[in-house]
Amino acid sequence: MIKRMVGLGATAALLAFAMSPLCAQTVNAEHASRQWPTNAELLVMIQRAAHTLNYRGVFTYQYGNSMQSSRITHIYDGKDEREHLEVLDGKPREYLRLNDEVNALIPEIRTIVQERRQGDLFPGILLSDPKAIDVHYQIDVRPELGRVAGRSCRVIDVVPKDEHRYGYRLCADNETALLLRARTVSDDAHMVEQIAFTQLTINPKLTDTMLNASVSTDGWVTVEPTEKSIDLYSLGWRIPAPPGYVSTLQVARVFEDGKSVNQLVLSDGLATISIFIEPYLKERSEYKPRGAARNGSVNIYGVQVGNFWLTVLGEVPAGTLEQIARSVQYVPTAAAH
Amino acid sequence: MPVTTPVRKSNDPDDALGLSISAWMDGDENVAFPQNMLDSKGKQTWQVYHLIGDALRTPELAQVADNRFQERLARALDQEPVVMASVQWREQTQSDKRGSSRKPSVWQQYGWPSLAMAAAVAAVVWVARPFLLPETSGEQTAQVALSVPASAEAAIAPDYVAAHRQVAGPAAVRQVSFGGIK
Repeated sequence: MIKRMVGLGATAALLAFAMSPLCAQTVNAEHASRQWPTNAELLVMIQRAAHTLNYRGVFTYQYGNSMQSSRITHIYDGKDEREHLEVLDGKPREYLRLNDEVNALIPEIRTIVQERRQGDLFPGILLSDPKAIDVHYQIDVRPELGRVAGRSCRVIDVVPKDEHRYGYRLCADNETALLLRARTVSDDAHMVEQIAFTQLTINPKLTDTMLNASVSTDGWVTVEPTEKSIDLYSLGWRIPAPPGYVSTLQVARVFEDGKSVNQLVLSDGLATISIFIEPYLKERSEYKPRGAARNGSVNIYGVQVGNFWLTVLGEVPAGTLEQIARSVQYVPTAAAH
Repeated sequence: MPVTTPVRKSNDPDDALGLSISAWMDGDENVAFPQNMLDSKGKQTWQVYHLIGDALRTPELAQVADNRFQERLARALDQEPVVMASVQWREQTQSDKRGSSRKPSVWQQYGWPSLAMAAAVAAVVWVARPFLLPETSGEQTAQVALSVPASAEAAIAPDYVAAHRQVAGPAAVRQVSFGGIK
């Protein structure tokens, strides 16, 4: 009974605060304090906030029927960026970043993988060319405010201008422009995935230990990543890109099962398509999918091209993937010797 | 436990008498005292039901059936059609819509738990599924696979999807399952 009364008292106090003129003035002041451009500049502003603010929080990524939470601590001292990211679900992973250098900690094999960051991750936005974004997307700032992780945020619609990409609904912190939530919206207006802070402190009281690994890494092995840069064009591959998409990454990877694949990444600045190429071995029967399939928020199209197997996938409309998969060509004579 | 669980509603007055006596014996507060329990048929039903109940509760009162009876019973049960509770629940609600003043008793009690069960299963599916993708091996996956048939969706090209997600768009995040490091 006592607990119940305390709870009611707290609710009443909150209500009183919410209705007080002081609270209303604060919100209005925030409204007026920031201009929200209706073009790609807005995304640049969001990206800058991710790089230059100090924050600590937990965000959750939800795709298909799966979700994964991570705790992020980010510090910018005016010159260098330092970040500590801990994956909270499934296998423990930690990532310690100094600008573009990332140490990935894999506790179960006592290994540190030293890698270079390949573009921005949440709450940053991968932005290759802001001008290209304005060509292919319309950016609208909605009049109403949203609320994420207890903070009021500006709702932004990023609407595709053609059928080769999905749309996004973003919610950026009304005070600092930090991205609090990003939802990918499919061509039939369904949310296919979202990533959002569930708890966040901007300008928190940070201690150095928050930026350190939670486990001791004494005696761990340090290795380089297995990805190697390649040039698929010189290997004889002719891969057409849909309007607005450019190649941002070409690497040879090794999967956990030992399989080697080449990966080409196409991006229009927001949407991303991966094209995986591997030799087609008749004795292996696990080439899946053949044709169109879906894994959570990702559409997939698998097809055999000559003696190779192609897997084209991404959070983009299925028709676009099929078009790419069906028009890829391998020209052996063009391959560099 | 109801002594006789009615499996269907009907207009048979004997059935109605049996239902109301059974419900009243079970302490169903929605059922008024069945007046026709005072006549001879009602008294007989009342006594028979109590006899059955006593026999079920008291092994000494029950005759031990021989093995052949148990076999026959098992065979007969096998041949019984499966009665889906949700179908009965629908029938009940339809009869309510027709304006029946009869209080829903037995099927309402059985109908809701089955719906609740379905909701519970759905909740388990939703909660359990997230483990399928990030952890492609290990105990949790095995447990989930036992309770929920892994959908084809979860199994399609997980390595490729994980490799892609590391570099993908506004929702690009660190992936735990991906990597060529062993």
